[in-house]
This record gives sequence, C-alpha cells and structure tokens, in this order.
Amino acid sequence: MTALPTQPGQLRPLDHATGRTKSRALRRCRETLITASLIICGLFSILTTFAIIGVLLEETRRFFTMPDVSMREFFLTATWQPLLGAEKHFGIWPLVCGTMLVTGVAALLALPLGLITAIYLSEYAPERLRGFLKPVLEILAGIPTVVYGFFALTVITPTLQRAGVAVDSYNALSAGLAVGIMTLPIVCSLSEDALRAVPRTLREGAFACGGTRLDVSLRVVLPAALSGVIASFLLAIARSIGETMIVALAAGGLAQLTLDPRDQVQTMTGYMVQIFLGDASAAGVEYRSSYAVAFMLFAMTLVVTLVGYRIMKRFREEYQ
Amino acid sequence: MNAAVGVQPGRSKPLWRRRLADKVFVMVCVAAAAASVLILLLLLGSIVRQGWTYLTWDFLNNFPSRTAASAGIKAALWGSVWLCAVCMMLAVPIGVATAILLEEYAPKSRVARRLHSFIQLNIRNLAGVPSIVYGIIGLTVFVRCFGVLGNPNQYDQLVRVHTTGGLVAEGTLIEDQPASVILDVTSVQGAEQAAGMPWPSGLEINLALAQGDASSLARAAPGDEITIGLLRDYNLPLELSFALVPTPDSNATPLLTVKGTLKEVRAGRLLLDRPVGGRIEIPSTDLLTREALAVRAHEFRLASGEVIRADSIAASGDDEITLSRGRASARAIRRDQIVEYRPIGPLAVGREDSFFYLRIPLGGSVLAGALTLMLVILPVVIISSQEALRAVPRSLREGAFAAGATRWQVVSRMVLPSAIPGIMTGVILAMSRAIGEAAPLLVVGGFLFITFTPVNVMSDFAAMPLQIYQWASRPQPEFYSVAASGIIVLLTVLLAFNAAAILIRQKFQKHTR
Repeated sequence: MTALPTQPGQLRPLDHATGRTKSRALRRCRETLITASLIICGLFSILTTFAIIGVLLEETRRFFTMPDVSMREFFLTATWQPLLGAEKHFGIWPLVCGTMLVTGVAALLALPLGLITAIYLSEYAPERLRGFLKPVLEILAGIPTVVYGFFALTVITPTLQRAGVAVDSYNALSAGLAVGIMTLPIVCSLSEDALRAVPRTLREGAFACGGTRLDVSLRVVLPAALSGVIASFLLAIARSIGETMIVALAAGGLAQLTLDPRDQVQTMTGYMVQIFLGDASAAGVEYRSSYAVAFMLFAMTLVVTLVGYRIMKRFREEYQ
Repeated sequence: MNAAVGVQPGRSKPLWRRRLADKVFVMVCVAAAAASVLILLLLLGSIVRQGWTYLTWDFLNNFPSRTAASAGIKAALWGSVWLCAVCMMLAVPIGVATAILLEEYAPKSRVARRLHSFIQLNIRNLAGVPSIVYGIIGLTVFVRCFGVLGNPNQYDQLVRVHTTGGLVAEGTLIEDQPASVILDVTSVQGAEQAAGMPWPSGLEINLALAQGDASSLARAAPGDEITIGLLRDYNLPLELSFALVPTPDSNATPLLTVKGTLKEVRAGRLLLDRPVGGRIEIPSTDLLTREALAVRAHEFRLASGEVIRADSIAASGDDEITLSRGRASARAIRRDQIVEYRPIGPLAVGREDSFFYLRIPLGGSVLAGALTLMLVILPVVIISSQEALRAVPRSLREGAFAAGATRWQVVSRMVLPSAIPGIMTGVILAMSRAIGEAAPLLVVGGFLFITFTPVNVMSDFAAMPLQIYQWASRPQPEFYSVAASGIIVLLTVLLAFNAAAILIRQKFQKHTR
C-alpha cells in the first residue's frame, strides 16, 4: 500500500471512482486476508507434492515389511509373479523392462518424426500450411489416451499382423506405436517453440554466408535450440513412461523380461490397472505392491522431468 | 554450444550437393508432416467406421447392458458431466489464485522469494506426474481418508446373495476379506486347453467380478466343490457359468466352461452387520444406509470396562457376536458381557438421496473422483492462467498503482478482467483433459455396473473414458463397435470444448487489436 498523505479534500482516485469510501484500516485488513488466502491456495500444490511422497513412501515401507517381501528380491530378481502360483515373486525388472520397451518404441517413432515436423513447421512451412498443421497436431494432442489404446488394439495390431509381422494380439510394438503417436504433438510443439525462439539474426547471418535452408536449420538453428529440443524429448519420454490406458488395452498382461517388441509385456502402469480393477484384495501383499510400483514409476518420471528442466535451464542460450 | 560452428569454410560440400540435400530434406519433412495428418485421418476414420452402427439416439439414452445392441452411454455421459463440473468448481479457484499469487504478488522478503520459486518448480514437477499416481493418492487420501475413519465402502458393498431357496446371506463386505462362494461343479468343458491360461482380469460372471486362477478351475471335475472369491456381488443366480476366453480377437466360444450350482457362502468371511436376534438393539441395515445419521461404527462397553469399536458386527452364535474392525482380526464377544452399545456416527450430512448429501470418508464417489481429477489438471490450470496473466500489459498495472490502488484492487479490477478470456481458454482445455482421463478414475472408482445417473456428489459414478475402456477390454468383438460409438460421443464433447476455446480466443484477439 502506498503511503499517500491523506489531507482533507484530497481525492483518493479509486474509492472516489466507485463512490465508496473505506477506511484505510479496513482496506489493509482485506488486503492481508486476500494475500493470506492466495498463499494458502499456493501452498496447496506443495501439500499435494508432500501427500504424494508421503503416501507412496509410507505404503511402500509397509509393503517391504510384509512377509515374503524383501527389498533385495524387489530390486535384484527378475520374476514378477504376484497373482499366480503358490509362491509369489516380486522382482520389479520385468515391469521396468516392459515400460522401457514400450517407451523405446514410442521414442523411436515420436522423437525423429516430431523433431522433423517441428523443423518443417518452424523453418520451411508456408504460413497457410502451418495454419493447417498446427490444429491437426492440437487435435492429436487432445485425443484421450483411451482412444489411442482402442486404436492400437483394433487398427495397429491387425494392420501389423496383415503386414506379416508376427505379433501377439497384445504386444509391446503396437502399444509403443500408439504411445508414440500420443507423444508426437508434445515433441513437436515444444521443439518448435525452442526452434522459433532462435533469433532471426542468426539465421540471416547463416544465409548471408551462403548456407542453404538445410544448412541453416540443421547446423545453426538446431544447435542453438538444442537444449529446448532435448528437454522436449525428455518430457515426451516421461509422458510415455507414465502412460496407462494405451498399455492397459494393447500391451497385454504378462510380466516378462523380454526385449522383443512383438511379445506381450506388462508395464508398471499396466500392473497397477490390473490390481485396481479388482484382482487383489485391499490388504493383500499384491495390493500393497502396487504402491511400491507407483513409487518406482513416480521416481522414474520425476528424474526424467527434472533432468529435462535442468537441461532447459542450464543450457538455454539467452538471446536478447 | 556455439551456434555458428556449423558453417565453417573448407568443410562445406559442393553447392549442388547441398541443394540436393535440402530438396531431399524438404521431402522428408513433408512426408513427416503428412504422416501426422494421415494418422489423424486413419484414427478418426476407423473409429467412425466401427462405431457408426451403434450410434443411435438409444445409445445416448440407454444404461450399460450385457448385450451390445442395447448398451448405452447415459450413465457414463452424466457421470462425466458431474465429474467435470465438480472438478472445475474446485480447480478453477485454487488454480487461478495460485497463478495470481505467482504472477501478481511479487515476493519481497528472501523467504517469500524462496517460496515462490519452490512453488513454481513444484508445479512443473506436478505437471509431469503420471495421472495414475494421482489416482493412487486420491484413493488413499480422498476415498479412504488414510483409513483412519473406518471403511468407506462398507455400505457400498452391501452384499446380498440369493439362491432359489431364498436369501442365503446379507451383509457388508470388508474389503480385505472377500466373500467366498462355494460351487458344486456339475460340468467342466475344455479343461485341457485352459490349464496354463492366466485368469483374465475383470472377467464377468454374470454381475460378479471374480478372482481365482484358471488352473484350479480347470482341475475341477463334476462333483467337486470349488471356491471362488467374489469382490462385488449383487445378485448371484443359482447357476454360474464361467467363460474363459483367451484373446478378444479369437471367436467367442469359450475355452473353459465350468457350470455348477451354488452351495454356500462361506461363513465367517462374509461379515454380517445384521445380527440375528439378541438383547441389544442394533439398527437394521435399512436404517444404516438410508437415514441421515448413518452409523459408521459401533462401540461396545464390556462388563470388564473395556471399550471395543467395531466396523461390523456378525452374529456367530446365539449368544455370541463377532466384532471386527478394519484389518484387525475379528473377536467373538458373549452378548451378556456387553453392558452398553452405542452406534457411532455421523460424519455424514443430509439424507443419502438428497442433493446435498455429504459424508466422510468420501468412498468411490463423484466428489472423490472430481478431487482426484482436480489434482491432475491443477498444474494445467495454473500454468495457463499464469500465461494469461503475463500477457496483460504492464502499463495497465502501473497506471492503476499510480492511481493509488492496492494490489488486490489492481488484480481484481484491472488485471483479471483483461486476463479472463485467456484463463477461460486454459480452463476449457484443462476440462477437456479432465473429461478424457481414465486412469485416475479407474483407481478411485473402479468399474461399476451403474444404471443410474448421479444424484449428488456422493453417488457412485461411471465416466465415459472408463466405460469405453471397459467395452474395449471385453472379449466379444461386437463390444468394440460399442466402444467406438462411445469414443465418437466423447470426441464430439471434446470437439465442442475445443471449438468454444477457439471462439473465445478469436473474440479475445479481435478485442485487443
């Protein structure tokens, strides 16, 4: 609050304008109240983070204190068999492997395609084509993931089978391709933002040196925007790791350690869906195991996201 | 990372080669851009082609059904509308307030500056958290309230098992003790093929979701008794048949069919909350579920002075009742030991069928689902509102401050009005994210066979993406078409949202120019 001298007869503009006069103390009090409530709303997001970490840590701790479960088995063995058979096995690696397989396929599709489209949109495409392509990508970005899952199950897998690829009806390949399509708009729009942020002068200088458009795009603009591009890659990868509905529909439910994308795999998210759909009772060890898996998932995405933002921040070239 | 490093003299290739490379690259680019357009066309085309047949007025007006022809999306559509509306009422105030705090209330002290940058970083990280993790948090915090307030699903899971002989058992299902049903097997078909198959998740046995594993079923022979765990059971008919179908695309003939007659509901695992006879008056189940003062727990004072709280009561004999609480093991008490009985309530307000009914813990209700969705979209709302606020020119604020306005006056009368179109666009986009989210709702609410639309925020809900997932994961191929019809409805709603966002954006742009 600015300290205006309050002499009688002096106008206090806003109060005057609304025809209401309020005492200064009242205004100050209201101002403090509003600031306090804004701060409370702001703290809500921090509370959410603490809730996530607290709940996951506590439930994971409870999981590891249960009989037949050990941290050693969880991290050092590779059999994930919580529901079937007499003996239960909790070795996380088949789930991590399934997740990485799907993410890998998705990255192979989305990263190059997204980057090329971004370069095209930023450096080559005429304005009218841009005006057409951007909405297409926005629509792709807005389609719910369950729709992509359905697409993978009923279009991608049969198409692959018809094309002679020996895939199961549930497989990592088509799930990965669908996840790739889903993350394509993320890579594309974030990379394009990074490329467009490169100042014109850099491009003009390169053209003046006799560079073709390809030289300018790949050797000048792309290196200058590299931090943003890599950050967009990492964010897309984080999204792929956490993607749930596509893999629940199209990747299958068999947790196995495989690197062949034609096999069916179970991802971390897919396992959680299986548990919460009612395959396990609420206090059982299988149920608790989903919290441990969620913790692993949260940690993985958090690391990837943090590294992404760190790269964006540290290696960003500031052009003023 | 020197930007100019690429154009070094002496290393460059001949001009014609560079020009050729440029042309080739343009072609690659066009192909890549065309690919995304093609993918979109293929996706929309295949869905319209598959979903066209079932897309009728009846589809919008029917509740889910066991046959594809009469299945409808009404419950899911209204469930999504409720979820979205409640979610917005929660997310918009909190999100916009956080954005205002971050953008308009610049920190003065060092502590405040720390707090600001921490909140900012935190919001970015929250935006990257997978939505299923939010679902788990919602389940623990909202649905169960950390389990400290008793079992929320106690009344949701009122189990009635009927046979042709009449009512066999009725009671609430304690979650960690799923009721078991014992079946007298009369016939088994196709056991050899099914021996090694995993039990598919979400298998339907009439209205019940069963768990078990295929090998024990496959080993069953006529005359055997087998035990099937039941999670949610509403009306179990006399004869059950199990169909184990390997994959959705194989034809619909089941590999394994086990038929049998219901023999008994295993005592002790299905906890009754309606004791049989006795001297202590304990409210009937109807009263428990219908009345405003819903009983959540029961407290018993014993002759020894000990006080026992129980979530559920079961009669385990003529003069004994079994009290159990949560995961703690059940304990049998003789009736004559009890000196005082007190039903403990209520953490509920209003009647269950009134529009303002509220209870804690929330259970798998619309409110729990909306709160969870709020966590998912809050970062989106905050970030887009921040951008909208940032787009308001500084001069506007400076002018108002110069005129002696307080911070809140500047925000509420100058900044917010000019930022509202931008905020609304962001909110609508966040809403379209919320309406398409399935994973967190699946954790919070699960699949329910719901044939009603919500009446208040405590109702159980169905949601469009959940319903689509359920249809798409069914083995019968005709349900794929139903799923596609559901997707068309969902995409139409999303399209309407996006159109609204675009209209607002355009109107706003005209307004400022």
